[in-house]
Amino acid sequence: MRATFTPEQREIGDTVAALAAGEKARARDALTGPWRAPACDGLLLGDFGLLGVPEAAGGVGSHLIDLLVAVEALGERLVPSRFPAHAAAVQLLCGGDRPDPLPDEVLSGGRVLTCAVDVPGGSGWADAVSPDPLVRTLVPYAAQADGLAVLGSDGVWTAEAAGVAARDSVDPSVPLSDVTVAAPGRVSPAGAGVRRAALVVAAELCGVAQGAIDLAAEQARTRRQFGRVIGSFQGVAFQLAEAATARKAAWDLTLYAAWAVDTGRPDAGIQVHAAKAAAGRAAVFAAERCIQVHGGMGITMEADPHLFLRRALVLDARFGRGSWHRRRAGELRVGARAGAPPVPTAAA
Amino acid sequence: MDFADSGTDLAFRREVGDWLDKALADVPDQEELSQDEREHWSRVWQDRLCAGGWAGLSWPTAHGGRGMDSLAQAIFNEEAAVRGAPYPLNGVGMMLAGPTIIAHGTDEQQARHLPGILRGETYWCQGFSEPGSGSDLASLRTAATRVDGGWRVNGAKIWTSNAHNASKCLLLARTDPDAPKHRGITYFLAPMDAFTVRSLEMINGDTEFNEMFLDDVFVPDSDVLGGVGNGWNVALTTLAFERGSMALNLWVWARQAVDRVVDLAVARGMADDGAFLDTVGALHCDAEAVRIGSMRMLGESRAGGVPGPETSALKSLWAQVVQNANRLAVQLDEAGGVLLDGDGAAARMRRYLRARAHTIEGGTEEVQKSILAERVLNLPRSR
Repeated sequence: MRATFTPEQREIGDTVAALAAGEKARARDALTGPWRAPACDGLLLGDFGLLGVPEAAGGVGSHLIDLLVAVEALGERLVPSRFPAHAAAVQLLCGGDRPDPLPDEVLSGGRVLTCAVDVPGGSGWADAVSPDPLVRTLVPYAAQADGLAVLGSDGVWTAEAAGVAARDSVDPSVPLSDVTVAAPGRVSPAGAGVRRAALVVAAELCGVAQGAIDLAAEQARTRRQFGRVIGSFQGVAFQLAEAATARKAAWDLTLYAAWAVDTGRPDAGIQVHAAKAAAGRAAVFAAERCIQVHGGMGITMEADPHLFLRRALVLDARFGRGSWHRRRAGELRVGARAGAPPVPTAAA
Repeated sequence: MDFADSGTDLAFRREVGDWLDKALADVPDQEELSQDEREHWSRVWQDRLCAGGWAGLSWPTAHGGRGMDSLAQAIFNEEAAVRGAPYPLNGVGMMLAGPTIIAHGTDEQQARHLPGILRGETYWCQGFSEPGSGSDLASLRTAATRVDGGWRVNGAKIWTSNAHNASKCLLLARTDPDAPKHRGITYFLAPMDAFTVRSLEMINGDTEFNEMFLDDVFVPDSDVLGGVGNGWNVALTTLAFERGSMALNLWVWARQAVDRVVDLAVARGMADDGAFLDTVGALHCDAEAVRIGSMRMLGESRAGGVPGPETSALKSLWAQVVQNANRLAVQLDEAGGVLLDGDGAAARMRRYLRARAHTIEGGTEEVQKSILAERVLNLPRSR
């Protein structure tokens, strides 16, 4: 049926949501100790590695949306797994017209990859001019991965890190590093890879937004002041309604962009920018509202709302900042109108 | 998840497009026309829809319709909106009255009322809102008292689109003042011969809305729809059709509002400005979210579900993007749009002022947020 999830997609969502719900490791753990792989990490990397991988790259014909549904479910609970970063790296490598089939050890999770995309000092991905083409920043789990999928101005390649400089991530459950890579021997055309990978980040952002909204709504349903639960005050309720609207918009944009990329639609580019921009905005907004609705507790380390904000900020900054994606969407929209026929106007 | 037209959908889209291109060939751009001229073309357009067999597109064949589903209706409405077709003057009849009568009417009522809609002879309006009952519709006070053979109705209605053209009214009135407020209401298919209609001048100068005064208006028993005291349930059916039809072409107007402001900025050489591009990027996101959300809503309802409360998020987004795009267009004009004699400035100001209604009509922004809070987020009632 048009514009509905397939039964398989619903099942993937339910399975991963159950896995995330049963996970004991928390994003909070990394605030006081080093990042440790959650129990579900290996299972995700091993059993879900073919989601969204095109047949040409060694997959079994799974749609990109299948993967996004899984990643969204992880985002809702801030599961500190390497899976989303690994899956994005795989997507980055498999978007060309004739991608090299990915090694079995990557698809089976035996070799964990992460993405090296963002350029220091830049705001977009690496199609901009880079002062040092072999340094990437905001690389997640660089020290915890076995290899890198690198985006350069002329294509993508896999590499070992020549140097890893750990940075101080606002979300320690997603360690971030600056990474130096050696010059590639061979570069493959990125094709749609960068778009596919960006949508993995957008999907996780949609999950983070949903998780923050759920937590805030729970607080609004239970916290009482002036003899009423605070969710009965419109000033509280409407903030969350706005957050839910922004999150729905972002998720719809993300799903559509994934379909547009998968089917090679000409508007795929602008839709990916729109999805990444909207998802980042929705997640940051929802997390800020979550803090607000928690009142005084919302600004303490011991309450959870700040964990959603930390993850939202990191994901919004990665793979091209949200503000850059929004600007690109605007530029492409203006470009698309050049020479277009004038807009007809109806009575209404 | 697949957003593509099927082969059948595509073929239907082409058939619709071909018909529309011919039927619209002599219809002028509506924007520069006076309201009288626009109403003239709306009437002409309604006649063409009826003559072309498009009026009952998604009505069952047993009732004279073409028996196609909501997606076919969506495709038709999209293709018409994309081409700037006039608004059909009997939208209430085709999209609300007909489907509600099909859902709740007796055989006799269906036989009496439906053909007139399909033939374009009977125009309908929606007598729900009252001066004292806007968002709180169930508090309505128009009273119907029992008389021999029917009901005598007294009261006032407001915000009635098209009442000045309609001869029939979907009328809600209180038939039992002692019952709880949702249970004492009855839904009538009222003839309007004895209604007094007065037009309201809107802030943009248009007169599309009306007040209606009912003084001892007689409505026969045969015009009670769905049973005495069951009016609230029947009204919910009409409101569901109203919400459903929203998903069909609202997104086109959102896209057009964005395209229009982009075209204006390009024509004026203002489209390179960074702040402008950022705003257009945000407008693009919202407008596309309305389009995609509408497709998903249609998909869910065709798969057997009913449009859920998430529809309120679409309505809210749509209103925002149209308001924001129309505000931006006015801001690009000389002196912030306050000089109406500038080229096209009056039309842009009219559109901006009209868009202020979008967060009020069809359920206010506050009502949409309350629905989301209560039914999506499971928060307690805030009213």
